[in-house]
Amino acid sequence: MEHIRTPKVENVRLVDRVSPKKAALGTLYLTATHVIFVENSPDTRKETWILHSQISTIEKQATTATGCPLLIRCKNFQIIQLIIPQERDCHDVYISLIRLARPVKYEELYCFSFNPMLDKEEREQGWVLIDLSEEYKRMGLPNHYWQLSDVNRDYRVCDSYPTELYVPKSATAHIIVGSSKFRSRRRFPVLSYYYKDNHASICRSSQPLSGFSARCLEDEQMLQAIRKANPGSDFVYVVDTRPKLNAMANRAAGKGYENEDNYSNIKFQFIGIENIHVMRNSLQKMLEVCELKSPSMSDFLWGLENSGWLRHIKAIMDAGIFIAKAVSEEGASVLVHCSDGWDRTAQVCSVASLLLDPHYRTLKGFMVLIEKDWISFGHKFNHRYGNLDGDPKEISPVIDQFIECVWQLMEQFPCAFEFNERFLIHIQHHIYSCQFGNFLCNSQKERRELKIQERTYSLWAHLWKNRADYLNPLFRADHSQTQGTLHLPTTPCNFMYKFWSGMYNRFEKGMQPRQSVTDYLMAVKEETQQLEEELEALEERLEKIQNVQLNCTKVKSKQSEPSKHSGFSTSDNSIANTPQDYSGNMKSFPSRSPSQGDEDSALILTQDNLKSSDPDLSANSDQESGVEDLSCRSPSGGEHAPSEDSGKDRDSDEAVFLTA
Amino acid sequence: MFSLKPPKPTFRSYLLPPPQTDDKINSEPKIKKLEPVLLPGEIVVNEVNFVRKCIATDTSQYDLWGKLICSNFKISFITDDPMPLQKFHYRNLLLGEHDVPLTCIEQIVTVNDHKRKQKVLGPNQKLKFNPTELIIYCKDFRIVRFRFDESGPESAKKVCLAIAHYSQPTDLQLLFAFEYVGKKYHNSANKINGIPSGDGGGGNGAGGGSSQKTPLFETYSDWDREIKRTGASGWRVCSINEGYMISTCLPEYIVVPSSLADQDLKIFSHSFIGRRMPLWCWSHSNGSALVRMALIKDVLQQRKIDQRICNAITKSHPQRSDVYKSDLDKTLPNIQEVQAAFVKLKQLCVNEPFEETEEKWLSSLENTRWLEYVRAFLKHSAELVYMLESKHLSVVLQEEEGRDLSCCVASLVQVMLDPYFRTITGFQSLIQKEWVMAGYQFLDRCNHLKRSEKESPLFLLFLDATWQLLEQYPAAFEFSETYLAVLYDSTRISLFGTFLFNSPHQRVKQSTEFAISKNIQLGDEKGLKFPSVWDWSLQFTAKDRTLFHNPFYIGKSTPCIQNGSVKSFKRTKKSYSSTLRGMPSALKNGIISDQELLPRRNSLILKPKPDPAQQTDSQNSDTEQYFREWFSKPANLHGVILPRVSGTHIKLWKLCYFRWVPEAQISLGGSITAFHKLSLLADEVDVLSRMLRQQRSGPLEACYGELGQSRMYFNASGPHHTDTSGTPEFLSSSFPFSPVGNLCRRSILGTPLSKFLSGAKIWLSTETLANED
Repeated sequence: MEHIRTPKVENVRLVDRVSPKKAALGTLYLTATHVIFVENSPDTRKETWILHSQISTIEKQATTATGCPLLIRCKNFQIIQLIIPQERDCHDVYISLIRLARPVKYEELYCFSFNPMLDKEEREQGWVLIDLSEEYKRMGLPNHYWQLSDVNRDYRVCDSYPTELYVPKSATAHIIVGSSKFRSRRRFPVLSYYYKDNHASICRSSQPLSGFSARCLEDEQMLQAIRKANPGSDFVYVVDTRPKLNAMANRAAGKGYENEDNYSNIKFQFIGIENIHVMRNSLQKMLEVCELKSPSMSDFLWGLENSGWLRHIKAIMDAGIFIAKAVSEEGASVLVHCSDGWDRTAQVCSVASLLLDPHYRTLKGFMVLIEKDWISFGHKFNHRYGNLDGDPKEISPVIDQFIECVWQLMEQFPCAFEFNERFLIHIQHHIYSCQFGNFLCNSQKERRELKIQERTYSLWAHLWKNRADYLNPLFRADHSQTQGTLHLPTTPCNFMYKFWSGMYNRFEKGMQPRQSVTDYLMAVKEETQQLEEELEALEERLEKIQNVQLNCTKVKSKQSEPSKHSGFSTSDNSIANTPQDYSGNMKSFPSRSPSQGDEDSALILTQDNLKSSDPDLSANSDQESGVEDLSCRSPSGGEHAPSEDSGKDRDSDEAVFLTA
Repeated sequence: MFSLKPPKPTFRSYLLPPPQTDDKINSEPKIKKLEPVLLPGEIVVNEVNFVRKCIATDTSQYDLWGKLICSNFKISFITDDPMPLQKFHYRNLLLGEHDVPLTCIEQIVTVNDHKRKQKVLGPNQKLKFNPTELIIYCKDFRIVRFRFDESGPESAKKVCLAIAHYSQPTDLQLLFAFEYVGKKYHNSANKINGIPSGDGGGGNGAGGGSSQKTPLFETYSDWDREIKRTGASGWRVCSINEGYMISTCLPEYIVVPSSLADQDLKIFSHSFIGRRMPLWCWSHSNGSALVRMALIKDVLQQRKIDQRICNAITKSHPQRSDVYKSDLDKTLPNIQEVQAAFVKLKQLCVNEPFEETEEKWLSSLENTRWLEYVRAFLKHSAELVYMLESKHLSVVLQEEEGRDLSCCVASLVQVMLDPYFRTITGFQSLIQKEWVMAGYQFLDRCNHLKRSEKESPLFLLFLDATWQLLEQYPAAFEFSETYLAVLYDSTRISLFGTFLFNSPHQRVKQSTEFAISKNIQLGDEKGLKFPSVWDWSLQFTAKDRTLFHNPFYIGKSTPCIQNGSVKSFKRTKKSYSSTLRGMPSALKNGIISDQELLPRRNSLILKPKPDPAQQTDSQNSDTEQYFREWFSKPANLHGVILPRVSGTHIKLWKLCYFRWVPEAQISLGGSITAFHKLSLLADEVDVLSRMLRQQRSGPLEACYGELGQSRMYFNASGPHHTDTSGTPEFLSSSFPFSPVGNLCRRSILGTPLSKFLSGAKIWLSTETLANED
């Protein structure tokens, strides 16, 4: 590629961050999509792959006797320090990476070259896995109060909104258009979540253009319509998620917030979540704490507090909890906005929905939630996560904060979520990786213009296919805890929020997070499963012996017994591992290797799957790379490609098994 | 109606049933109408009727009505009203729901709202007003409040004074344990020729199946067994301190280098502070020993004796390795600093006005220094592990008296090195060996007599540090965090002899005196046999004791059935810690770099002896190197475990410090929900392995039928119910404890306690409250 000045540098050292004296010697490759470091050490040939789109900053440090150090900070919080022997090489690498990490056209992004070897049909299937119209149907819409509006057909009213929008039945096109003219970027109030149980809803919009005194009849009618769509309550909460001061400052610019005197029956509420600039700086400060090598208690605690990060997380949670309580306990509808209604509003609406609706705590439901509140409602992924070269002031960890909120909730309710921490981390990774088309661009309109669905693949399909890796073994769908609203204390305290080292320190060797509950549970699960297998084997054997002894030919009569025995807990054990349990959803994956479909023994299938998923999951995110110029690996983001030894393993296991 | 004269004490006393039938006591809730349940030897001192116990700070709607009594063991609030808002109560057989043992009381505050007066009550003090309310601050962070609006003012006052008097006794022998054990001796004397049952022994593990006795290290044979267990050669049990002839703060039997003769030891002992000769604690399988020793006060002899001792220790090492000395007084915070940190922690967790700490939570936590101290102990202990494990050096812990910091460090080192001490029995024996027998001054450090300037929560610090290890290696310990919390609480119950004395000698001396004064025939016994904390059946039913079991724990005897043809269970091949969270570069090709999965750490190559002179220089980086290498591999839970000690990894032990804080409680949440699910699963595994062992095709229900055998608190209920048994309603993050009825900070409806108490920061600030009439 034209931007690569030097494709290969030898005798580069990769510095171990924990012990700087130790460094691995190897070769550095620059490809169109990745920086790859391959260690020389012949027995390991360890490789480190970094996607260009993950690169956040590159820093050339002062040349030393050993060479020229290059520090690469990644958006997934990895930090790589390389020492390149020649200053000239270092400069070339530096200049190349600066350019490669800041693509100017969407077409330069990885997702346009990434090829997981799926055919067209599979690709299309992947894109329909998450279907928002299905989601609105699930909520119980359209109904007597809410209808699908076509007012935004061809993005005529608001170009950052999707075309499919739900509005109150009584809101006419006239009201909607009138209201949109009174809202920043014409983002008028629309439905985000409908709470079937009591007809209350969560709506979202941008700030009104009220200035100091301006009014808009249609906007007032719009809020009236939202209130009327909820017969159970005679008022609507309007939640402005900004600090009051910020909202007031906006009035000078002709924007601002709703005046309670002008809108009938609203209750107005500020919840002070800081703006994207404050959040960006806060993350920066926290990452500085993370970079400390072995922080003392006071380094860590003071640093964390001064970063303010957890305070901001708490503010978002508080807002979400407020809305969830208003909806579920007071039965009141809530209109949420911030300034433009695409950052804080997205955070708060999705946290509230997650608290209210157990569906969003499932794998698929969570994908739907992100698709709905973030992707479809025009969260500016491109600007916030700097996919293309742009204004650095637009960059801010908005969705990272939402993902962290979810993690904090998972820590407080370890059994309430179907997915695990890894799922969140992988989503975070892919928001920045640009390997899948889901998070490209700033709006649905842009994505359609780019024909994203025809040219790239969907992350959701990829995650869904590997769902066994993302399941929380503690979750059971039919448990009371996993149903209904999550009940947090009215005002959770700061001490409930913790530092997420699994995310921010995940690349720190020697600081690796402890083995989690989940890890141990998986071990126990496997143990249970094996015991069951043994039990079944023993029973079969016993049966055979009995048969031989009795010299009886009626063998089949007892066949059903052992399977009944094993059935009692395979049902929950196998959820994590057997694709069979998802046969209902298999439709979307007709491409699964046919051999898996007609295995005759469920046991062997389970075994197989367990093992083959190993390498796939571990290499997960970078495994998908479609780089052709490195011969040492065959890229495969798609199919299970069981490594050789796992194949062997299975055979030997099977053999032992059969001798039983 | 309001009789001013307190009614005569009408108490009912009964003997504790033997542990085997302890389930009976649970099914006997028929407490006679407002009558206290009393233990043998327990008497009611004073009581007052029509007392209101406040449940919430801001509303009286939940308040309970009943009788408040003060006995020589506890204060007890007796009521017929059920506890509101509370879904679960972990029942202690010795204490009612509203009871507080006298030794658990930290401060007593009486208030008269009409006169706007309040007073902190000391012993033998006068009270010049009739209290309208009584607030008890407990050592375990609880705050209990009673109102006397409807009670007789005189009896209310008398009860308050009685509580103040009895909770601050002037003499050790006034502690309830003496009365209790005296009564039991009397009772048993009337019966058969008997030593009271259930006493004295180590008690059984925690219930369930294990009934291993905890070695108390009171006898020669316990020490001898420990030598054999650790495979220590070159060490012997020495009996020169029999009858405490040499030192009154050492156990009667100690383990010393074989090369030191009794005669030499006797001579040396004079030079040590408290005549505390070097005490062997433990030996590594490589021969390195852990030894603790007081300072040598005799300056002239210092070098010579030190040399002799060190030589002897070297001689006892199979490789004649050097001795590494660690001066704990110089490297660790002292007991006053630990105490100060604890006081601040208590302020922060319980009593500080909520709004103030809200924004600065992390820095306030830092300001207490508590976590930093926990970290310091862990870090230093880990460094000593390196010396013993990797450098093959014997380690000598030096401390002025050798009975404070040494207890904590010696125990932590052993918990990290020896998986035996991570079992319940092992952990208890460790506490016996390094704390109780080694002369940790529980009486002073726990401040049972409320007059010691020497109070310091080192034992809690040890439990906290153990919790950090448990948190980092959840599958390495047989016990749960509930066990640790309950163990901490047990130091506050003055019934047990375990945590009552400054030394074993003190127990013998004091109880012999007591026995003589009470005409108790001791026979051959050395002092009275007090009940042991390790006899958990005295406090909890067998069912409740199963909460001590950690469902993660995979003991060495994992049911790995290897019946020839049946394939054996292989432990998880994946090392999740590196793969779970992402994309370790080692796995980029799908090839797992060939690192040893379960390395045998004991087989590290012997390194040459370091030159003592340059030791300090290179030592730091060597230690770091050792830690780095250790952490780069998955831990063998049946081998050494090392703590991660960076600021990121040391956490606040919320169950212990927040269990009484209502707003910290997450209903149906917290790690207990995972514990619950895991217990079910572990139980299921147990059932299945039991089935395998039986190898009969009997019906499955039969195996689930043996629920009595389960080692888990939560049981898998069988094939047809497993999936429907949801999370029990009563689970919350503070389970099995309940903050209901505790008045701290903001209560149920949100008014801060501080506001309620008109802004007075009462805790421990006697000066500001001198405004008595």
